Amino acid sequence: MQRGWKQWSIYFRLSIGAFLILFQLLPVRVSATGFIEQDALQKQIDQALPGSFLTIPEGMYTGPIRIAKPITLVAQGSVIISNPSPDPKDEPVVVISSDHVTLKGIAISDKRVNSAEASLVLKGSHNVLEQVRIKTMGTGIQLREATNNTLHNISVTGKVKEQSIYGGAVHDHASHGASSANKVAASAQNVPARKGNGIDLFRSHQNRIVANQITNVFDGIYLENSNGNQIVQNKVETSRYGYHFMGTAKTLLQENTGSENVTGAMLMETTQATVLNNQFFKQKNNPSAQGILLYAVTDSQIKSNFIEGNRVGLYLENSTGIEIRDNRLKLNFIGMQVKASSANTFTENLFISNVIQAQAQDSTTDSFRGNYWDNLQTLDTNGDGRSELPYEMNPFYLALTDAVPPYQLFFQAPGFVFLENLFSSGTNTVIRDESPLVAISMNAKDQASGTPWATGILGLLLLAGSTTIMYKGGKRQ
Amino acid sequence: MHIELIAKREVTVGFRNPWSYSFLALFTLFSLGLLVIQSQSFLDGYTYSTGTMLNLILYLLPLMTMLLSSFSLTAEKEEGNWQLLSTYAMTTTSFLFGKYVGQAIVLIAIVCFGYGLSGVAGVLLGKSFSFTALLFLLVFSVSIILLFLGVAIVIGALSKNRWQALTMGVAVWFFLILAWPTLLISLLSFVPYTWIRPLLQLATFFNPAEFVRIYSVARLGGGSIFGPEYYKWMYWIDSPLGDVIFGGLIIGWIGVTMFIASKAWERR
Repeated sequence: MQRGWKQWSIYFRLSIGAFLILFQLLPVRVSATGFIEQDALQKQIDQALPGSFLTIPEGMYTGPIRIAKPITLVAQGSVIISNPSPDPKDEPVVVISSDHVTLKGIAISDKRVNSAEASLVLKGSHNVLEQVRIKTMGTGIQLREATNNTLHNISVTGKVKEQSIYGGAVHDHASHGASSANKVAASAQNVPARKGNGIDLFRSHQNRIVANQITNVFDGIYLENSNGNQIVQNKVETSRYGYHFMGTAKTLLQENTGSENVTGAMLMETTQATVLNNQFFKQKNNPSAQGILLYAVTDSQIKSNFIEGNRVGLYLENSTGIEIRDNRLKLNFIGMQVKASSANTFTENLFISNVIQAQAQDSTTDSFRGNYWDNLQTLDTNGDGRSELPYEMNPFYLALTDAVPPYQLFFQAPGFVFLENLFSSGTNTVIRDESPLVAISMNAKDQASGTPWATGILGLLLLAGSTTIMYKGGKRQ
Repeated sequence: MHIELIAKREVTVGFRNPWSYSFLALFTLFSLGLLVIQSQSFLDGYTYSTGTMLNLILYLLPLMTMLLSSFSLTAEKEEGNWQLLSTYAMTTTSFLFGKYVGQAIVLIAIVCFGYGLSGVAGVLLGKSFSFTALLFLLVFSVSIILLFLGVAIVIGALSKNRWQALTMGVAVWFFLILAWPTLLISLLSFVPYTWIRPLLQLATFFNPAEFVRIYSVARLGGGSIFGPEYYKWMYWIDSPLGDVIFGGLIIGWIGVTMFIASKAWERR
């Protein structure tokens, strides 16, 4: 009995010891992975007086961090706030629900998959976000009924991998199948991750979004029912739509860049937008790619944009009262397509070396004047710098492929060009530029540089080879 | 062995034929013309210049190939050479393949001369093609020649004399190059909508001018212009297997046309 009791007490002591050791180990392990408890930062924020200035010491923090009072938070050194769990039901990594908050210099890493909420959610007004770097599996920043905020120098990188450049069309079926199969599995890990937007505005007005970089997301900057926002000097790459406006008014899109997206800028049901001095490059790999697409847009300006190397440079449908001036459309497969639009004016645009310069259909009230078309045989009899021969935009291809899309296979087939000319020359349905520009300044037509020596050597080889064959072959044996 | 002999003879005869030199002059002029188009604009990827060049080559080269080579075959009949050759132990197939190889060498030499001269002239004038553009045009032209040479051999085998060959050659050229979209669009208007795309795809394989053009545009990076209907094709062409499939298609096309030609030749 006595012995038994002793044994028990030894076991008891041992287990207490083990328990204590475990307890001692626990905080060590946490600091070994480098995470500092969320409470530390959250406590600091909670204890701070409104209007105070806080620095966040260097280190890794776990979210969620909630900022509900007007304070200034500035990171010192490398500050990473993260959510390492893929659970979509987790809170956003950072939520700002106050006005007059300034958040500067942090990095956010968010592993949540298919979450409805962004890594950083902003719900107040007059807040400033600066130098924030976000790596996310979903949406980067959401502005919800937030006004007068400034987002400056933010980078959002989507971490969801694309399988193929023809992805949109190719793995649609695959993902449908997979998502229905995985409905039973509650775990989010098995559901294929869908990309979110870079910066997403909903009912948010008068915000300034300046000098941000967004890569590999769904829509780079997405605005819905949001008015008077200024989007300036941003850069969106390898995403679906670079800049996507749905039902917005008085939006300014200026000096932004979009490259290798499906569509550079997509404006839908938007009014009084100003699209100025932007650059859209290489939106060409997807079979439905465009530089700028306008659908049901009214009373807007598209001015001085540089649209190069896209599948379709500028696409306009069901839009009225738009001024398209001084844009440079260069080396696109189709420079411009205009469909069912009215009362728009196109002037001083340059169309340079697009495979097809422009196509227009059902848009007879649009006015095309004084654009430059580099493949037009011009004739200026009165010396006013305008050609007396008009430039005609053939509607045949648009009409045909609209009715039967598979006929797009005939794009620029020699016989199709022949057919096109048979059908539509001299008819009244053709939309034309009545007074095209005769010449432009040469710097707009800059040359592609080549490698003349390699070409010369190849030329010489071909020439020497062929003459030898001819001489030897033709000689009497 | 016989193939080689026939091919050698074909090259000799080919380069003594004044027609070859008139085509050489025409093609050289034409490629210098391409150089002028190019110097006005850009040749990187699928652009107005490259698109126009592809089309110009598609107008000229198939016609040139079909006329030169079918004439060479009918000449054998008209001049009685085949009657003489057929007394030797030689099969039709090796005779026709010999003709094919010889004609291919003649035509490719003509094209090489044209491009070579404009390549050199370009460098001297300071308005040159880029290296890749020149190489691309060369490969494109050689593919067109190899494919239409098969058609030319069939025409030559079917025709009794040059006039027949000329008529048939021009008809085939008009059908495959100029009238192709018009005919297909009008014919396909009678079939149900869902059949249009598969029939169009199938038809494309029977027109070498079309499949070479589509392949070339895709290789220039312009595959997306054909729309979402054909993304699978573009996906294949862009994959490493694309070139292999294209090569296979060329060989298959040559094999089929040569088979038809030898059957037609033997029938006479």
